Amino acid sequence: MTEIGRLAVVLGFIVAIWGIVASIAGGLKHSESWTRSGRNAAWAFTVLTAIATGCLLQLLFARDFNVEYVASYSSSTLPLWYTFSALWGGMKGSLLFWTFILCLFNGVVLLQNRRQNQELMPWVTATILTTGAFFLSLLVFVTDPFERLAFVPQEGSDLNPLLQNYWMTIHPPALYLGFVSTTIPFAFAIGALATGQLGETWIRTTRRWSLFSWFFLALGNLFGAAWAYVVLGWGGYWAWDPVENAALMPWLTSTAFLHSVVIQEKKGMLKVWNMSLVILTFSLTIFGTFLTRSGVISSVHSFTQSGLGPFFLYFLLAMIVISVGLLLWRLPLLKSRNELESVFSREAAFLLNNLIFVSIAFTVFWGTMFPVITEWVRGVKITVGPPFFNRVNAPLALALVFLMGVGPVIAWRRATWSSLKRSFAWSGGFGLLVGSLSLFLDGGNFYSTVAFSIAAFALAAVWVEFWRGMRVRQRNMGEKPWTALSRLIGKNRRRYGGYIVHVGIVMIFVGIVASSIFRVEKQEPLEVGQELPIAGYVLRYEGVEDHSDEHVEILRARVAVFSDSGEPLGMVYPEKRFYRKPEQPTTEVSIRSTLAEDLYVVLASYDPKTGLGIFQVFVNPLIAWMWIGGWVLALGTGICMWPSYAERTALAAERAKADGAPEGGRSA
Amino acid sequence: MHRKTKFLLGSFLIVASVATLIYSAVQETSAYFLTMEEYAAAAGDHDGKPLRLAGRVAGDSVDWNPMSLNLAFQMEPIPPREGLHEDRPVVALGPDTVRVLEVRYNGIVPDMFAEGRDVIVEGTVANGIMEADTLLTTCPSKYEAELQPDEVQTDGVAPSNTTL
Repeated sequence: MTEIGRLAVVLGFIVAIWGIVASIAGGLKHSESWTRSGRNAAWAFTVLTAIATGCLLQLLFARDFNVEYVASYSSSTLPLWYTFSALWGGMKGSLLFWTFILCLFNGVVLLQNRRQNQELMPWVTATILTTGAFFLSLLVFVTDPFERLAFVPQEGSDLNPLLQNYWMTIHPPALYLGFVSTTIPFAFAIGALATGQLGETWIRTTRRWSLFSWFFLALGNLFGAAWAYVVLGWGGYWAWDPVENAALMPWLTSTAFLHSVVIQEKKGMLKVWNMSLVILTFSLTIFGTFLTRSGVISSVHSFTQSGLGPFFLYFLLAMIVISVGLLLWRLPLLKSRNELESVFSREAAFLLNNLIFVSIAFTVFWGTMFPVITEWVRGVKITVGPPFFNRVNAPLALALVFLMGVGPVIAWRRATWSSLKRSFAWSGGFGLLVGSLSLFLDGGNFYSTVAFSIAAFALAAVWVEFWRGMRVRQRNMGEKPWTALSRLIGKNRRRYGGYIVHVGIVMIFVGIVASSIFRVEKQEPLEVGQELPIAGYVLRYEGVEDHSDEHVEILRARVAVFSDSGEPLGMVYPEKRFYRKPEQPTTEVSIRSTLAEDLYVVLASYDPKTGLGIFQVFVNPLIAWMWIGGWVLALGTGICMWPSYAERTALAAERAKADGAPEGGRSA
Repeated sequence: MHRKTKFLLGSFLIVASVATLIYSAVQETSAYFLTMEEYAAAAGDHDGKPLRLAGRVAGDSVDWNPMSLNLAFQMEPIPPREGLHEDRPVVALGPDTVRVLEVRYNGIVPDMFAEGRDVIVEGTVANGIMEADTLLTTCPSKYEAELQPDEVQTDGVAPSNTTL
């Protein structure tokens, strides 16, 4: 199996290199035969990478501990389900997995574009294969996932227990899907720049891909937050750790792109900006992969420190130089068709939104790289922690949510004073109402008051949009309310799906604000039978049970939960675990979750002699809304992505126009 | 005023305010990130300033009171060529330099905390004692699976569940 896998990786690398050469030749010479050869090579790359991945999976499931990777990241007692996640549990496997996802996307792109985008495709293929060849080259020349050991260990070292959690089986794949799929819009952007076909075709073709990668980046981050919350046991979900930041940055620029691309489609403006955002998003995903693999920055996510860093840096640099070079070369073709007319317009709101997203991305970048930068410049490492990120990003996030309430409602081009009054009377009023309510309820907390009123303002804007659209249909078409609503959404999937995404984001925002400002925390040692009152709850420690098995030693505390008034609310069972292989203690949190708040109980340590348990208890208000917001976001994205007939025919017509252009058009 | 000027001015204002935000936040929240050697080489210089220190928990130095959640331990330099900061130059210390630092911390101790482990503490030093408000454990060697020689079956016979 290792021989087959190794061979597949090496051959995959060779055909990828061939595919790049042939595709570029095909693109430059407009030669059908070169292009076809490049396409075939791209298919071969896809098949070979899939074979290599299959081999590694087979070795993992066969528990062939003679293979270094298998021995390092699995064991004979590792449950089957987590054996899958061992595929990306270590660095070598994760690099192969990255390439595997790219090879799948490559296959989809080839299938989708069998008969369309013929001009762009050689360049798209070349770009995808360049990325693929880079990752395969690491596996060929630097770290071989199929390396065999000189001996056969009886047992593997097992997957890190912290990774043995269901969120951890879906978090990395989601993030990888998001990371890797940014390659596709990037590849089409390169294609557009190289061929000079800078119309809207490449943007429309990659619209779903951009949304896809945005969605999976969002999901990946949310799953990661959920994992941190459920597994790490510090009561929070986001620590501004470099690895988290690495996944957040491309999401931020990708969100900016999804908004600014609307302006390009409607107004023909911001073409250079959009191109830059696509390039930036792709670069940030490579940069993120670099950060997590290089050990440049110390992180709690201890990925293996390895010598891979420089390779990523060179690749990143090369891609940036090529793409920025192409962009500068095509600058004259990227002129705007329109100009901004007024500060009070939807265009201006979108522009501001973009500025803020990019500012946040920059802040995150700056804070993450600060130790590296100061070491270069001043020779000392200076770090900034979570307070830095929170302080800078909180006002920026408030501004974004505020714009969420403005953007959908304000008029295009130029809003008049009377239209502003009409548009914002309801939502502004609702925002003020919720603001004053919250002022009354929270005991005058300034930040939460501002945040909740802005959130209410943004929600009301979405509500008004739906309501108005529905009324118009009811009046003009005589439809019943529900029919009107579903047809309204059905006819404008992107617009109304986008609004639903906004609702999800506001929910997440509210969850973050409430759980950061109003969280209550207590740490206390308790003897058996002792009680701990906290924020409207009383907890009674009733002792510890032993639930050990051959894989792991488990101590489970029984804690009864009561309300203030003594009414029983059930039990929570926080655990302390000691994995036998590798020997590592972990904490298993127990959470009692309601829509209003989470009671989060950690058994921090336990003394078997005295029965004394040290507990850490958090009450996190409204945090459930973060996860609900995530589902709403998924629903909204689903609505946006759902294919619509009108869009397909429009796109087909446009492509026919582009492809059907006379031969002379090519040389022009 | 011309429209374009207005927009340029507006964008400039936004960028400037973000820059100000970043600048002031850096001023107020940054901390020196030092290894124990670097700290020991200039011990007095950093008193009273926020610090982030990477070191190793010295053997036989941990004093943990579970009832009060008070922890005290001695932190020493991480030996070169292993651990956290392989890439950083080792600071040469004079023979009489004090190499250890007393750390005090109140709160829950992370699972991985133990004598001989590498830790990062954040806090300020006063009178030769670090009052830490954050205690992080790092354990690179455990994450990076190491195949111990004592687990090695040397006769070269593959277990029955392998395929090749």
